[in-house]
Amino acid sequence: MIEAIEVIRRFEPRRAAPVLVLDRVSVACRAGEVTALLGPNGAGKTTLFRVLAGLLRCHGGRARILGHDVAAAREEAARRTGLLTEEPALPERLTPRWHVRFHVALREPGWAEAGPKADRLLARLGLSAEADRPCGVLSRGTRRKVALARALAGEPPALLLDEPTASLDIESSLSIRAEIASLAREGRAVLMATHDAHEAESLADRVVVLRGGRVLADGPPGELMARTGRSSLQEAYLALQKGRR
Amino acid sequence: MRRALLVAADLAREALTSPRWWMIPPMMGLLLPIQMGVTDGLAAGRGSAVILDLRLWLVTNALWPCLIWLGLAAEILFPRKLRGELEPLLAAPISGRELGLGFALPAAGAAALFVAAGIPATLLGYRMGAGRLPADPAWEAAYLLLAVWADSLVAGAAVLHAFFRAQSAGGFLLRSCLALLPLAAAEGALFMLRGAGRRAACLGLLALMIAGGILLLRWAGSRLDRERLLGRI
Repeated sequence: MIEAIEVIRRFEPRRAAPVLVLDRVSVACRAGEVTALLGPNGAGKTTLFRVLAGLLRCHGGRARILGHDVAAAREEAARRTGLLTEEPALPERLTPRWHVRFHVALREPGWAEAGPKADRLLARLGLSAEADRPCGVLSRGTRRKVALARALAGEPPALLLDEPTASLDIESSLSIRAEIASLAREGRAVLMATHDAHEAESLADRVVVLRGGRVLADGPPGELMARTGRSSLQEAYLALQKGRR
Repeated sequence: MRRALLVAADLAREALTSPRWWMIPPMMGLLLPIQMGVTDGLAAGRGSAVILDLRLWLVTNALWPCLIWLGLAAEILFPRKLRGELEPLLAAPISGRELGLGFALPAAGAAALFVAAGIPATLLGYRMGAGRLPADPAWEAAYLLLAVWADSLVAGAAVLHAFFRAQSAGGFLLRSCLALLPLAAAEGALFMLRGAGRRAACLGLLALMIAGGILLLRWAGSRLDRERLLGRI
């Protein structure tokens, strides 16, 4: 289970006033579920992911991955977490085969054993043919898939996917959505950030609507639509955001 | 330690995919030391031992290891930081100590290789220039080895600290180059001691520099802050 409990996070620039980016945000994502974070730019989605991945400290509240406190037991929590970053963040001159193998080996003992595991991950995402080309020459969609394969290194039970289909063509988006659904069916907890309400409606068991670092609404898509009296999640989302203003 | 070695291997592999890194080792590990040795040998053949000391100990020792550290960091590490490519690595189950060691090892390995090639190359060049080896080649080689290691450790600490803390390429270079000031002072002291024939004092100072370098490197490694290393957030 992925849990953020009353998480507070401020940014304190040197020459400017502190900015409250997460204001007592609570989110829970159970095993086998997809929870979507929906919100405009600057809502705090990426910051929440970074807190859950142990990259940023909480200034209040707690973040836990399968019961392991991210601040107190960072390595234990990190071993159980796969992070798909907003940008693929791949080394341009290295190949997907090396890069994914490297990340498998960081999480599991044995460099030799990491090779076949990395190959299986690449094959799962249809990347076998691209595995030995430098990451820098791959298409955006392929890079995204390589980054997803990296996030799956070590078979983590908790996945944090930051805008997994952003800027992708229709085929690549559908392929990654199918993979996300499959990962949840395998029993993983999947927390994903997205700007696409249709994607959230089709994939997510729960939707958390964020704005300005606060949770506006949290529930299954159908419940949010019923609560706002709208027939689609996109309309419900817009109604919630408008109500906030 | 295993994960530190993995990080080091990842960085080294990326460095070796760059054509620039295939040009630097022969140039810095062989051509430059031979050229230094030849010039110093020619000067020594005319009775000028001062030039030998200055060139061999100041130029080769102080700049060479700094350049290796700085080159590797500028080519691989800092661009990764600027491009935001460190995020997946920082999110992996790896401690700050392992990361620091992993970042430091490739440059230390490169320095070791360059020293192994550079010392014989310098002595060979000297022989070519002077028609003979220095009076005590074993002492010269041992001295050079220790001095390069001492400088490597201090330079490595400065580059690692700059990599962890700097938020721009200019800041990174500036912070890294600060190591040259204490190194130049230490090398100057060594030069004076050597000139006065005080070998024991030289070795003592070198031992102090190596111990200080190890402490500095450990301190720099402990300064890793994942938030800061992520860059501007």
